Amino acid sequence: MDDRSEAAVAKTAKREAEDPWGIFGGAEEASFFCVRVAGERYAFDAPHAEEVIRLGTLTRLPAAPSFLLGVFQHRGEILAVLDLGQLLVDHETSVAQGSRSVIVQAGSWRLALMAESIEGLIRLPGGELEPPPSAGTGSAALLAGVGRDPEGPVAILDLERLIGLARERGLRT
Amino acid sequence: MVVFDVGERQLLTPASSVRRFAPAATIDDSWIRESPLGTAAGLGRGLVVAGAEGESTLAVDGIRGIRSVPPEAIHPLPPIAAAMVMGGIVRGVAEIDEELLLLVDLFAVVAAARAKNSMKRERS
Repeated sequence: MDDRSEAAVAKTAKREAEDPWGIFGGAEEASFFCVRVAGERYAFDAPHAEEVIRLGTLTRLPAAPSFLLGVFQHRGEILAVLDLGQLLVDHETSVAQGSRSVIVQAGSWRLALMAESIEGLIRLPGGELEPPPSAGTGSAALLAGVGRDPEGPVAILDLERLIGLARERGLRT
Repeated sequence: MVVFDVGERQLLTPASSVRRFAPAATIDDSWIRESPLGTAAGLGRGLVVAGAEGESTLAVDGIRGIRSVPPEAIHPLPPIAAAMVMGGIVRGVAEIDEELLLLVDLFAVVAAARAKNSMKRERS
């Protein structure tokens, strides 16, 4: 076996060890976690998504921005819930007890995100993401790219940037 | 902890931050009716707070009483939520009877309400 073959075998073995079920995709594919907001599809890198849960009782916070929907307890941990609808397109997501939410970890932030609906894991061909629409303002500034699968186009979010922006907006409120 | 209501919210504050309860009959224009916690519509009673600027009375819709809360039932707000709540008025949450009640800093609430009122007066 030559050096290149050995390297390829080692790379495959490493990938299989890190992702034995292929959940996060191989070199040819990348996995994302997809939600719908105001009818549009948005996704973020799948490893950020930790768990999909049904929201228990939400405790609303006074003197807080409206996109911070409140806090709730999940397995002994208090988590904040952010409304993706309000953050991305100024569209309030309707929330009820039992609504589905996704717990994410992005950088040092661990919180729950609320969207209109949750689609779940999707796979997109790696390296084929288009650049986001000429950015600068609005939600375009929060996009890492735009992908496409059989269901149609999907906007790929930079989750850490989104949460950072939410925090900045919250501080200005 | 003092358990009280403002609007539909049930809230907690350390008993040490309340100098006394004021009966509704003693209400006057000096009472703070609007604060970051909301507006006390029913004006059930007042919580008297003694700060650097003297005593202030925060109108509330009701006082449920004083109860002890074990330290393990009290949790800080998640950092992202703490960063977004104005003026640090919410210090944390306490799990009581399977509900999360907000633990508020009455001094911060009164200070924020006073600041807002003085801005209103300056504008008018």
